[in-house]
Amino acid sequence: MSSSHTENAVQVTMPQMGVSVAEGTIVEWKKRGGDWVESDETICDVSTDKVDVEIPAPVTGRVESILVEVGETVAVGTPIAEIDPGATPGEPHRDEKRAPQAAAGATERPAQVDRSRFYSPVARRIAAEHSVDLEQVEGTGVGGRVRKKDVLAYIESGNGEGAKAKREPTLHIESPYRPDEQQEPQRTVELLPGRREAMSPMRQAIARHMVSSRQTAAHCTTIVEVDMSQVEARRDQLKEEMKRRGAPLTYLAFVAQATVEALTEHPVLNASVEGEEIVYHDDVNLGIAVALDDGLIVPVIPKAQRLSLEGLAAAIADVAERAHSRDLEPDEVHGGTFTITNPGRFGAVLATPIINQPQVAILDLEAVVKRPVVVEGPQGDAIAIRPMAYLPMSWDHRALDGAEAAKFLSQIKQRLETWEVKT
Amino acid sequence: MTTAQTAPATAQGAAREMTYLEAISDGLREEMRRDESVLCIGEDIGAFGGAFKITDGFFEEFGAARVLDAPLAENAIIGAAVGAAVEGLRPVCEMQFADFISCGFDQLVNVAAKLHYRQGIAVPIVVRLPSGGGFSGGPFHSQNPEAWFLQTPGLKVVAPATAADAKGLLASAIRDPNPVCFLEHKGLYRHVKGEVPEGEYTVPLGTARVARPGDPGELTVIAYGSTVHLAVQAAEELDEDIEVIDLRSLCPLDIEAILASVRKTSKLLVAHEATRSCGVGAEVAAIVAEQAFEDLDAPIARLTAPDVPIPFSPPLEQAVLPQLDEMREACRELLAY
Repeated sequence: MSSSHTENAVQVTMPQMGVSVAEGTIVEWKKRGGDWVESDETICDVSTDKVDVEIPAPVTGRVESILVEVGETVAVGTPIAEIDPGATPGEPHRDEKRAPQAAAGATERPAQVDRSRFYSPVARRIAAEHSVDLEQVEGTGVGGRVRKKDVLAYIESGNGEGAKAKREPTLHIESPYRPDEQQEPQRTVELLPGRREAMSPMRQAIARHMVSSRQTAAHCTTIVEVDMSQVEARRDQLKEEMKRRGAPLTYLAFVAQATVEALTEHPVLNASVEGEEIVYHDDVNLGIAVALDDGLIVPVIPKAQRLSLEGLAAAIADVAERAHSRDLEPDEVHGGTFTITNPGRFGAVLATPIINQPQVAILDLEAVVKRPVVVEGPQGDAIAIRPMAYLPMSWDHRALDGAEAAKFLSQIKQRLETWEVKT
Repeated sequence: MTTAQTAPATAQGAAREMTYLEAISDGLREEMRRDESVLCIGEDIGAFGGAFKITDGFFEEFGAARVLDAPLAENAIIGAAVGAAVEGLRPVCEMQFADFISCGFDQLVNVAAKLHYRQGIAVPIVVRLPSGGGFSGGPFHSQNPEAWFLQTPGLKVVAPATAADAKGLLASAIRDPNPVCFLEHKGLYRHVKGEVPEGEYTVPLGTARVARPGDPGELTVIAYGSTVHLAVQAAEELDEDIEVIDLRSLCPLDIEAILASVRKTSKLLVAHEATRSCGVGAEVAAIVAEQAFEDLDAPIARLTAPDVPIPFSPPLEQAVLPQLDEMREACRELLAY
């Protein structure tokens, strides 16, 4: 044990506890800053690799400061504490001003352990729910700990504005259970083997658009069955010439032509619902749904009522091709007033499509397949084999009723079944 | 457990200030007047009126057939009560001190608690347990033995803190078809006073009471019996936003009330005079950790007696039993956390 005077304080140093011992570890402080200590009273316990030793105070006085904390290992001769021999008992110590509560606590705890980056479960939960970066929140708890009230104050002060409340607008501080909210789907999916992929922006847009349409419109689907014999005959006549002109003539073009004509006579189907008003559009801007490998896009043929069958066929071929090569202009996918979709290309025979908002209906051309049907001939009814197709149309019951939808579809059917064939 | 068949009855308006002890007496007397099948059995409860004078005047009013002086044999008291209950009576047993229940343990935990489970027979008995310390009663007259019974499925356990609850819970306990341990804290007998409804009055078993509401609430203190008063007093003195929940019923436990308060405040101190290990505090802490982990903002703290017998010596007893300054300190520490 050696001690040296600095001003009026006596330094307690790590003693030499044996010839081969170079350092010691503080095991326990028997005295703390501000405590009164008598000369030779044990001030702390020190452990070496050989022995444990009680260190006596070199003088009587008040412990001015503890320089080495419990658990720290320091070299022999290092000052570990300071004792003020000139102090009088009962006189306030400077440490007491800093930590007035230290004396009141029955269980002693290191007063200022840094807890600023320890986050309680509730702090984490609220932060996650409001996309708060806890590193940015100032803690007012013990050791700078971020308390629940600190997180709530941070959110209420409008900090982290951008990220805040993206998922939910209200503050949920009382319970993690939200009866109104759907359970997060990942929880159950996570249990199953498989992989997880982020949705492409297009997929996300489709998802949003379709769900919003379902939530907006009163969907209803009406279906007619069409005998495509006449269309097929006419198509056969025009096919070769169209091919030479670089535009394949599809059933879709005929259906589009018949639809555009019917729309001019049934304007309520070439319309939009806006609040409590129906907006009737002057032009038929015909949307054609084009299936892509990773999604779906609906390019629009503007003023389709001005186009002939050949012109529609060429326009459909053009937008479909550019949809696949991703060469559509942004304007070409907006402003549609009616949409035709054509999953029949892939062999489907029936579907109930979702309306492309803000339109009021979507027509669906299904596969043309040969079916036995009853036909009326001069000798009475007979069964014939005919190329048949279903034309389902989903329409918005807010804008129109079933009779109107049926009349519209019947007009298209009538037009397609009586398509004039040049002789 | 069978379901209580009672509808909560409320008094017709009038209330009177009574001590906790008078309220127990009043509740017992009301039930005996209301229902002839209710009877009392215990040591010195007849002509002497009971060690704490709970049954003072009962012998005169109800007669020797309904206020039975028993020999110093707790096993016989509870055993006789079980038999009487099976035959359709509703006995209320008085243990002179809760500590003496150990002599009647077998009849209570192995017979009364299990008869319904084994044979479908209801055992509507109440065992009154004058418990708790604070008056130098020493190790045999000061215990808080509730945890023993909480580990016995088939028993209900209640521990009122106020005079009104003492009356209302006793009436509910008597009407309940299950054996009920009724812990009455001796330290509250004459020190706690309050307005108690006159006439018939019941408090449903299994419901906690908000003894001091917090708004919005920064700390929940869950207590029962004597520590409810410590908690309320500490909260008042600290003048902090502390919510105090008085469990009053330990089995069934009002888990909803516990969780609701903790979800509000995010900090919890559980306080009881009984010893620490495997006590109500441990159970409440476990429930909160299981069901409200994501609402916690601080470690759950307990203020209890340490795991030692209650000493005779007054200063030592003070050191063992939870005191007001310890309650204040525990609250302050959690508030600051």
